[in-house]
Amino acid sequence: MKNPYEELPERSFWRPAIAEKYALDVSSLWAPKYELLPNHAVATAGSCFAQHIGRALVQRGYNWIDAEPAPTIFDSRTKKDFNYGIFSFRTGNVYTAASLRQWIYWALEKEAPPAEIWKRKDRFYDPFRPNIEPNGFSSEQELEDSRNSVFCAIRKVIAEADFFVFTLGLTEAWINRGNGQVYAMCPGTQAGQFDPELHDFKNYRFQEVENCLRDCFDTMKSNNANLKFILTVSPVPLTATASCEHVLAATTYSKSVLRAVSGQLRDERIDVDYFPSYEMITGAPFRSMFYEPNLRSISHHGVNFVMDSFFACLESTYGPSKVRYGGSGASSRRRAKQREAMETICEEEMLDAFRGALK
Amino acid sequence: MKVCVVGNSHIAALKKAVEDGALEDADTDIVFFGAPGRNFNKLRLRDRMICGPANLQDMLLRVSDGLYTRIDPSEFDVVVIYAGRFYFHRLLGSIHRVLRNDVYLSDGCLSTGIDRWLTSKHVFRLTKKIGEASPTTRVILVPRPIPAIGEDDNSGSAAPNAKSPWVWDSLEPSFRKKIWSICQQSASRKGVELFPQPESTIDANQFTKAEFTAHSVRLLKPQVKHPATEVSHMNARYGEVFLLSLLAHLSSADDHANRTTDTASA
Repeated sequence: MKNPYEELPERSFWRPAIAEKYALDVSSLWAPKYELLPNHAVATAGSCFAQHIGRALVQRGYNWIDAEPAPTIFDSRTKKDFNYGIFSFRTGNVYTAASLRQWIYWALEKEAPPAEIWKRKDRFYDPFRPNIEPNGFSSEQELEDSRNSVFCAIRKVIAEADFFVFTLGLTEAWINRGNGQVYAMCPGTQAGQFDPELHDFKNYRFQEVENCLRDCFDTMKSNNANLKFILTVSPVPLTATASCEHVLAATTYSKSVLRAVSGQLRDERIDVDYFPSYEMITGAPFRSMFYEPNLRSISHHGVNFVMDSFFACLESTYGPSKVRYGGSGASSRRRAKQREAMETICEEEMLDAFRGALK
Repeated sequence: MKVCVVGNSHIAALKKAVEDGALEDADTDIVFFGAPGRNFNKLRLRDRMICGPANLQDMLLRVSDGLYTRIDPSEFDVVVIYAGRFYFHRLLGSIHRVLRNDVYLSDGCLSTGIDRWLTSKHVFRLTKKIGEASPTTRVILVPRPIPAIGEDDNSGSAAPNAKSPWVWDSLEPSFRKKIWSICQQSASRKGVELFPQPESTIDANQFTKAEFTAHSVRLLKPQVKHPATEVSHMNARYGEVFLLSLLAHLSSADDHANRTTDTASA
């Protein structure tokens, strides 16, 4: 009788799948549970790396939902400065599962929307997306109107999406001790003022992340039973940690928890898949070749490798999709534009500005 | 008063109005200069003169009735830069479309987006340069007239039957005035005076009244009529209404320094 390994495919063995291959020829890293067709409505949210997914979908002619678009006549710089067209709704980066749950609960009125607003000089900032407007809002009313627009966009996404792609970024967050609300960033970094009596550091554990994601999925599915989820983990390391660990150890903890939760949910739920973008960048076979010299930012080659793999895996599993494709045949000008577009908006990098205070 | 109107094919309506005697009673000497279509974008300010490349000379002469191949703005009291690719209605429609879909745009986003859109236009930069080079001349920029019905220019689009992103069914005059006001403020900060389409030419849905596009004329071939489906170019009647509105504005705003402050009535 054959042992279980004898009938496994090549991709199950390190030597033929990895050791005997040039890194860029490593393939079949993902066996997608579901076919993603160009007419499927796909929503994206999550940490900075998630920004690439929406863009790649658009470039390849897929149906990415932009539920909160800027006027088409506005230039790309304005759209980027004001965070339009980055994610399917204008939350800015959503780094943690708890933060995603919060936005969904607010949008679907499972929880009352936040009352907290930060003020600096005569401008108003949203604690849950402090970087969404370059100079804040002109009034509290304007901030609340804009927040209501996000809630509306989230509801639209939940109702219309076939796939919701969420990129998990961090386990670390800052929360309000009083009401438990999760801030997008540590108060006092981009806006607001840090108050040790009010603001508490939180490093989410496996069970907490899993519970948050289950709550998100169940809540969204109660509004759209056909919705499916694709989880990814951002390969971008932490800019800074408040955990008192070394930042490398803290990064490993964060990413390990997020990766493990993703795997658990993928295995347990039929409606959840996991796309291994994290492995495609951080895996030993790739020898950190996709990192910029700071060993944190991902080069456009890395982004292209990940996104090309995403579509290649879909194609190898389900066959080619007939879509408008601006990929390999793109002109150098278009490629330059794509590189420019790949510059992500990453609030977490702001933390690096506070490094000097530790010296 | 000496006025020079520099523009593209849209100045045909104004020129025809003058030819038909619209300004006979006005103490105004008016000159037309420019080039239709994309050729307008070839006009430059060189050595303080508005001019075009050598291959445009015949066209410039024809538009100015054989008078000019280049214009010295300082010889005029007023230079009106008319239309070009200043599509105010496309800006209006594009913003309206997202607001209609419950997307909120902050004042900061609106003013930044409009500012960058406006200053990216060749016609705006040309106007600004003319104004800077000719401080004694009043220089005014005018947008293209709003089409008579929803313009549906989808040339080159993958979905030719889809409506262009700037088409609206109906919008509030207050919204149009708000967006115009932001344009004016943006232009004013850069020393450019905008002058709007006359209010009396706009219908309840914020399109140009259909009566102003019937029998519209071409700039270089006045004898050849535009097809009946043409909704972008205006007729001599529109030209007359516009010129009378402009002259009324010029005579009522003597203070050159205040020229950018009181035209928010569009």
